[in-house]
Amino acid sequence: MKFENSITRRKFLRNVTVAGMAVPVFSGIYLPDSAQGAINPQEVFRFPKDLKNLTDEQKLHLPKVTLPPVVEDGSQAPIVIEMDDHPMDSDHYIKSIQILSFSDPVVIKGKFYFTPVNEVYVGTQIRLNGGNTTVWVVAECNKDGMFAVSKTVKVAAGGC
Amino acid sequence: MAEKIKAPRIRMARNIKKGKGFKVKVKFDHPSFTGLGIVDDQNDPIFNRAIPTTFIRNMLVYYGDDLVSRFRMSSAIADNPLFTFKLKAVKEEPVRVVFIDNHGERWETSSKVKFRK
Repeated sequence: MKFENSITRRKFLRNVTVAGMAVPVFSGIYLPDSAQGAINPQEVFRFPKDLKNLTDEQKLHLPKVTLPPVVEDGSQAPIVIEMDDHPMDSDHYIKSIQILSFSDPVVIKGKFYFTPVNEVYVGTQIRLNGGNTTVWVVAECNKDGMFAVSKTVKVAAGGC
Repeated sequence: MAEKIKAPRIRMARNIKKGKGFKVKVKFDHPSFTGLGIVDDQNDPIFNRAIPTTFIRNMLVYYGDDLVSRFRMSSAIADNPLFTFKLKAVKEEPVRVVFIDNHGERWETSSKVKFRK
C-alpha cells in the first residue's frame, strides 16, 4: 500500500517544534514567575501567616499531621494525615495529599489521590534522613487550591 | 527477586453502619528500598545509587467496580508498610486493593463490605 501524503520524520519534528513554540505565544497563557525560574512558594501554596489566629477557610483546609517529635528508626517513621472538617462532596473535596521532605535524598514520599467516596485519612510509614528533618504535607482542594503545613522531627538513625 | 513476596492482607470492620466512614488497613510485606548508600561518610557524606531500587509504585483502591483512590509512592515509603485509609460505606460491595511495584509486578487483596442490620 502506498501513502501519497505520508509524513516524514523531518516534517513531523519541524511541525511539532513550530506548534510547541506557537502555543504559549498565541494562546495568551499567563505564566507566573515560578514558571520562569524564580520560584515563589506563596504563589503555589497558601501558608497561614499567623498559626494562632487562623481564618475559617484555613482551619478547614489545613491537614492535621501526626508524627512523633523524635523518630528512633528513620526507616519506619509513622505518619498519619487527617482532615475531619473538610467536606467530601462531589463539588468540593480534597483531591490529593502529598508528603515531601526537602532535606532527604528522596524528596517526594508519596501522593495520595482521593474521590468524594473517601474520607481524608491516610496512615503509613515513611523513610526519613537522619538529623532534624522538616516534613511538608500539601493538601489540594478542587475549589480552593493547595494548602501546606510542616512538622519538624528529630530522626535518630537515618533510614534512606 | 529471590524470595517470593506474600499477598497483602486487608482488615476492616465486619459490620459497618451504612453511610458512615470506615477504616481499612492493608499490610503488605514488600522489601522496599531506596537503593541509596552513603559514600565516604567520614569527610563528605553523599548518597550514591548502591543497589537497584525496589518499591511499591502504585496502590489502587477499588470499591465495587469504581476506582476510589490511587496512592502513588516513591522509594521513600518504608518496607513492609501498613496503609490505613477511610471510605464511606455507600454500598455493600467488595473493597479491592491492588499493589503494583516498580518492576510491574502486581498483588491484590479484597474484602466485602457488610452493613450492620
